[in-house]
Amino acid sequence: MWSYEKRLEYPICIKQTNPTLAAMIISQYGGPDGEIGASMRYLSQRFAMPYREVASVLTDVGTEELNHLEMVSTMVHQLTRNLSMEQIKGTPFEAYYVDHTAGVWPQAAGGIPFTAVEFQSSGDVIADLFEDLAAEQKARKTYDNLLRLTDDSDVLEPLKFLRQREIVHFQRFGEALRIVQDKLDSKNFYAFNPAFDKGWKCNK
Amino acid sequence: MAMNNGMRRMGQCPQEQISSRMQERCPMQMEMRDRKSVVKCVYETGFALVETMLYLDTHPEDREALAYFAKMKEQYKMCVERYNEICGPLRFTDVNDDNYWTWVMTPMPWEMEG
Repeated sequence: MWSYEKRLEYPICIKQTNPTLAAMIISQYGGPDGEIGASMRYLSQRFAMPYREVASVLTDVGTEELNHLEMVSTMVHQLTRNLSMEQIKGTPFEAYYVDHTAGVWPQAAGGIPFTAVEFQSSGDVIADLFEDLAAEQKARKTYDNLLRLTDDSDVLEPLKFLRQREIVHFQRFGEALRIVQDKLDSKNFYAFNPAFDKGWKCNK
Repeated sequence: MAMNNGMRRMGQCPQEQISSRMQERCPMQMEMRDRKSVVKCVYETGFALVETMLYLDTHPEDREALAYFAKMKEQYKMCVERYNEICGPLRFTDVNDDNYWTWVMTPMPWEMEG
């Protein structure tokens, strides 16, 4: 189960609204490499992970991603607070405003709604962990791209924090993959799928 | 639709809002400096705990990391206790008030800054 702590993982206080930037940052909420996809990916994959250290990594990183989607939503919210119609008209935020006003809804910067197709839970331990490694790099890439779009330090600092977390998660997933491979047949990692094939021995 | 014209800066930084609200309800008029340092402590030690937890998941036998985790856990606990006194409950189980469910009184995280 989860328990809510009433604070962000990293403080955010954006003083200058910027609806155009909000329409870009929303991608890290509901876009292809966004935080919702990240969290749902890891929290779903846990059930096919027979090794407890790695199931813990999936649980704890998946939980931290929930903190991150709250941070990204906070940035979108603060960038779109108290907007006048003049500030909205003619910006890339205008189309979003038609359906969602200044509410927070998961979509990509290009307007594509969030879908579970953005991530996989393959039931195969090695396939899942390679996807997780790629996902962290893809999210890091999106933060790099967002960082190039602004010079507002109130926005840059939380984005830099989130970018750094992707790199740490990538490191942890690399170690998780090594832990998994140490438990498999060193001559053929794909000889069996420990999450599915019968006959593998319980290995705590 | 009645809207203000032209560019408009956000009236107030959330932190200013929270501090004025805090003063209204804080019986002892806590000093701003005190509040800021306790919030900073919760953020810093809370982050150290998350980071060490992830490291320990893949290095469960690292005694240096285990000792660091124990140290940070102690500091975090102290900061959270002080936070509860000054700023209100961090978790709903921190509510300690006979007269009002203070969980619904304090600002949501997106309204505030640490």
